[in-house]
Amino acid sequence: MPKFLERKTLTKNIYFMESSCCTPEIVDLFTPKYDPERLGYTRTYDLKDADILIISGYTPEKVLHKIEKKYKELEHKPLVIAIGGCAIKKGPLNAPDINIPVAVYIPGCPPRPQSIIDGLVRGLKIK
Amino acid sequence: MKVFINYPFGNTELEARIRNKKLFSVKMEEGFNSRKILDTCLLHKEPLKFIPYLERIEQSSHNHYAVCFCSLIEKAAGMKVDYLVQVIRTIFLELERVYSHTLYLNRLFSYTENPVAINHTIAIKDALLSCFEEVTGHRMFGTNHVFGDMNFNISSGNIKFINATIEQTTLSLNKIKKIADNNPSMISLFRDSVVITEKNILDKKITGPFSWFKGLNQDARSTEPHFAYAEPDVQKKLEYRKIEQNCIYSRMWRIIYDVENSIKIVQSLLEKHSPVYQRKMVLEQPTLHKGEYSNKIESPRGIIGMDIEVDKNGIIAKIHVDSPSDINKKMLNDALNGTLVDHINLAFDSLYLSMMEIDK
Repeated sequence: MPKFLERKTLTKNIYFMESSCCTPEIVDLFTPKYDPERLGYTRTYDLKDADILIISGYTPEKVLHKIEKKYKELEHKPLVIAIGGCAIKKGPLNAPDINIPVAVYIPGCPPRPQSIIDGLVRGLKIK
Repeated sequence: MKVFINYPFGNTELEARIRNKKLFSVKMEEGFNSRKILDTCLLHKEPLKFIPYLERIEQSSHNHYAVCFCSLIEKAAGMKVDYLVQVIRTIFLELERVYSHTLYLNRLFSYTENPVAINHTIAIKDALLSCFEEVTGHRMFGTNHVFGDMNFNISSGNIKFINATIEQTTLSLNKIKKIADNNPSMISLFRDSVVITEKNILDKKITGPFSWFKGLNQDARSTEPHFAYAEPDVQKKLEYRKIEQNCIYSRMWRIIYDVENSIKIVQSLLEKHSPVYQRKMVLEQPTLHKGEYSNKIESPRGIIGMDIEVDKNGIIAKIHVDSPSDINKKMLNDALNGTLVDHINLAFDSLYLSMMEIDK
């Protein structure tokens, strides 16, 4: 594909792996109160379109295995952000290891939407 | 079509057949069930040690598990816990109930895309979580700290904080009620969708909001009053408006009324003559006796029950845990038939299954 046809937009698509106790915070993140779209973050439901992949809280082995498989198949690899105490192995649930390179860890049980936005901004700087 | 649901400690897989853009039949296979872990892992252990495990199992009814188990131990030991302890327990139980219900309302309003209603649910949720954080030192899981670090005492500043959160909830709940009352977009979305009949409720012993909206009195607060609710005598104040419709819209109203009731209960417990202001309590060291014990508690998703057998040495020989979400899931096969495929997310949410992650 020629370079001028490549997608170069300011918006960043986020794919969420919602699980367990972190869900309410993530659901609230995309509500008008916090509104991450003002910073250029939108939500997708397809991993192929994702610029950022967020793994939150406790994810069972089956689901993690599926995501790792999909991640390896992707050409455009998204930035991975892990959210919650369980993902950092200091939470209440004994979560399995994430075998994908994680750029940013956001601590908290569960982390507030503000701290998730802060982590997203830091993640952009890395990329 | 296959649906894959992921929730803490387990997965479920659903198979659905579709005819004319409507769900024709649904079959469910449960993979790894959280309650079986409890039954096996907690055997041959000292009961007081595994309270912290129990509260993490269900997503938003941690407190209920731990309180249920604590009261079991108290029964077994023949203890009489201080009245102040009971009051604090009921306050936290009701606050968690409100939290769970607001999550449900938040989900429902997100389908209607009404930003004002969504914002009010978030305001309640934020207020409650900050209250838990202020009182117990943790954002969400109140129980472990309530029973451990806090030592059953609440400072006067914390009481003011709880009062402030209740004021916030009443303010935003009144505005939610105004929005939801005869709202044409909500009625068109919710009415005549995911019908639950009385037969389903009675045959499968379904509890919680599903049974209340049909007028069936399976509320454990009134039928099998929990130890915590026994002395404050709050059952008499519970009032529900009778709703005859058979859809998500009516269930939503039932949950709004339940939030109102739990606010009333907390307000009654925080009045000036309440023992919370005394900040004195008496606790004895429990010594477990041999025998069989059972207990039940009402949670927002249904009734949580436990049966245990205790040895001579005070160690658990047998344990069985009944949880509400298992029972409510059994209704899926019947209740989802005939719903529109476009409304599948709404259908799952209406059945109180927080669906975490669905891959279609």
